[in-house]
Amino acid sequence: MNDNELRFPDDRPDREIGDALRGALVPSDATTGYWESFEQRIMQRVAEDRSSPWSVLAGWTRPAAIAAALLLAAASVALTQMRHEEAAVAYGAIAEEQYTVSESAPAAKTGSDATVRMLLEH
Amino acid sequence: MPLPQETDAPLRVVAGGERERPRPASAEPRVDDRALVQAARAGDDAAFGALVRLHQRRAYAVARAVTIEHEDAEDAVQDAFLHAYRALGRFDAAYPFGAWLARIVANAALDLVRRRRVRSTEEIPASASLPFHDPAERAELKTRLNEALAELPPRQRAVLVLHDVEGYRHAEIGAMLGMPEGTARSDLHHARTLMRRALDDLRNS
Repeated sequence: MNDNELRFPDDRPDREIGDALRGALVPSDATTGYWESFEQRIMQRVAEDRSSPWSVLAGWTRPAAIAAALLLAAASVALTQMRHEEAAVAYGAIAEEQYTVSESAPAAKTGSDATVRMLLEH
Repeated sequence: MPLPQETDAPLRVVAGGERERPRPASAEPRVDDRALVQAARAGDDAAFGALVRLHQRRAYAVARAVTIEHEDAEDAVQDAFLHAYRALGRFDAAYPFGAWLARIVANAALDLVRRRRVRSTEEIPASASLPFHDPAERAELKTRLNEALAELPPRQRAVLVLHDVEGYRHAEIGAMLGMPEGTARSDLHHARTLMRRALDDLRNS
């Protein structure tokens, strides 16, 4: 018995309980025939499940989920890019407007200066 | 591929009449299992049938311990094998198939017990009917043990059978049933206390 087993005696299977349960946890008619028949019933259920249309759909569940996730990711990327482009266009428009204003402002200023100069001179 | 014909008895009698302990779950997976899983994945139904043949007895013992009733145990085992068949593609062949299947069986049996409980809105009676018709010398032991098992909550029954019958460790059982290792340890302690009392009563009667 090692240190671990001394500290945790429950770590080892209890042989008496295990043996008793092994004897109890069997079908009442646990003959070879019973197990062969049980195996056949299990395999029949597997075969029925495979031939069921739902199982075909179930088989597509995972690929469909992956495809949906990929589509969602692609749509998110496209939407983000579109928003970036819209923002860039809007920014460009504002910048252009400001440029136009700043281009015309000195002219106006120059015009008013000229008027003032003309009034002062005459 | 030659398919194994022998069934996987939970306990084998070896030379000298000694009983061989169940193979620890953490041991290397059997080569047979690995080859059969690969073949079954490739669509070989006979290979899956061989896996059923090899593991159905142990699966039944786990399910029976949890559900108590023979018919429920059969249903749980069938559900579990069906689930395993559908999920074969996701099974990591580096791990033992038996441990993977035991987890599926234990959870299928616990689910079935939960569904039954919800339907009947009552606990499984302590004196659940025991469909045993064995020779008299074994019948008393079976009946008493099953009565004692039925007094335990289903999860404790699952822990007890996975540990003391199937030989899995606390950490493995915790992972199988989705609970901390300490809880598995505590469940086992409670379950054993009751089972030991039942065995003592039987010896003294």
